[in-house]
Amino acid sequence: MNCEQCRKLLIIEGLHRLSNQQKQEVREHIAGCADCAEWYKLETRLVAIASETANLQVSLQFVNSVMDRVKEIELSAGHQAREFNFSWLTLLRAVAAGLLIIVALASGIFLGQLTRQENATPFELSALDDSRLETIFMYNDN
Amino acid sequence: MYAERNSNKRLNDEDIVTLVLAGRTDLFALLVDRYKDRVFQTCMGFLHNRQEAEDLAQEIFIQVYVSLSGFKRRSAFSTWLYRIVINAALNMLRKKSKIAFVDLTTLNSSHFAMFKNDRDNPEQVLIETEDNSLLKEALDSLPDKQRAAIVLSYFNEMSQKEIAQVLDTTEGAVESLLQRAKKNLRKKLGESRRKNEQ
Ligand SMILES: [Zn+2]
Repeated sequence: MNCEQCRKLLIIEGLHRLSNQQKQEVREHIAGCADCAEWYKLETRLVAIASETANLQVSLQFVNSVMDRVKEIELSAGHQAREFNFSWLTLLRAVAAGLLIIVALASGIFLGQLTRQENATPFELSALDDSRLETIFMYNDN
Repeated sequence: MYAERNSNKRLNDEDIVTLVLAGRTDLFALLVDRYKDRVFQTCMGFLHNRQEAEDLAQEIFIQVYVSLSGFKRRSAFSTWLYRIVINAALNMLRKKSKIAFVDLTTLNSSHFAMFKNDRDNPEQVLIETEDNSLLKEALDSLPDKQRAAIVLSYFNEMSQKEIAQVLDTTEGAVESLLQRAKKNLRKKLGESRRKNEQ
């Protein structure tokens, strides 16, 4: 094995992916090559720090803790949805009430106008009559 | 009940996602159980601290749950999950570096405490632990993608093809990331060694 082959295995593949045969060849090469030996040392250290965590596990209550929070999220989402529905209902009620008021006002105005029109003719006529009478009286005075 | 639990365990990740989205939120526990240790180990690769890594792993699963409807099935669920893991870990490190009042001596002593092992030769243990500590510091100083490639390769034992999928890049680019990462690590370790010798 030459340096190029050795570095390809160590740097690109990584010590943790090599077969026993490849590891043996690498060891034979680094026995006489200081620079490749440095790459090998780095690999053994990387493998060592990774193996420190390889058997580590989360605490026993981990899944339950996550699921408790999932439930909290679901509850608050449900609550928000209810609030959302409630606000839509309120909005609908407000719109309905508004429409009722508008209808009531509109019909009030309409009825008022009708009443005014019904009263308007005799009153105006009588006023006209009075003024005419006044005029007549005036002329009479003279 | 037991039979249902057993048949649920046989469901694949994507089926579980479908069921969770359809309202079986309890089945999300299966995904958490399936990936909890691997996600935790990846977080350890970035944070080197058990409590912080577990807290982050929990946050990641919550983030996964909340954004589950955003999983478009263009990749495997595990690939999508690891993308979230890498992003969350890198974000956490960015936040931590912003509040970088980190006393390096405290950090190192906590590392010593955490990874203390019970081998016979205390001197050898100290040298190895110190070496590992320096390597972790060197790892922490790598650019994001190089660091992610190393963590996925060594802590998660992913193939280059799998790493490429998670990092959304090509296998060639992963090779290059690993190569540059290792060159940087050797350089930084050499510098630390020279500093220690002075
Ligand atoms: Zn060589």
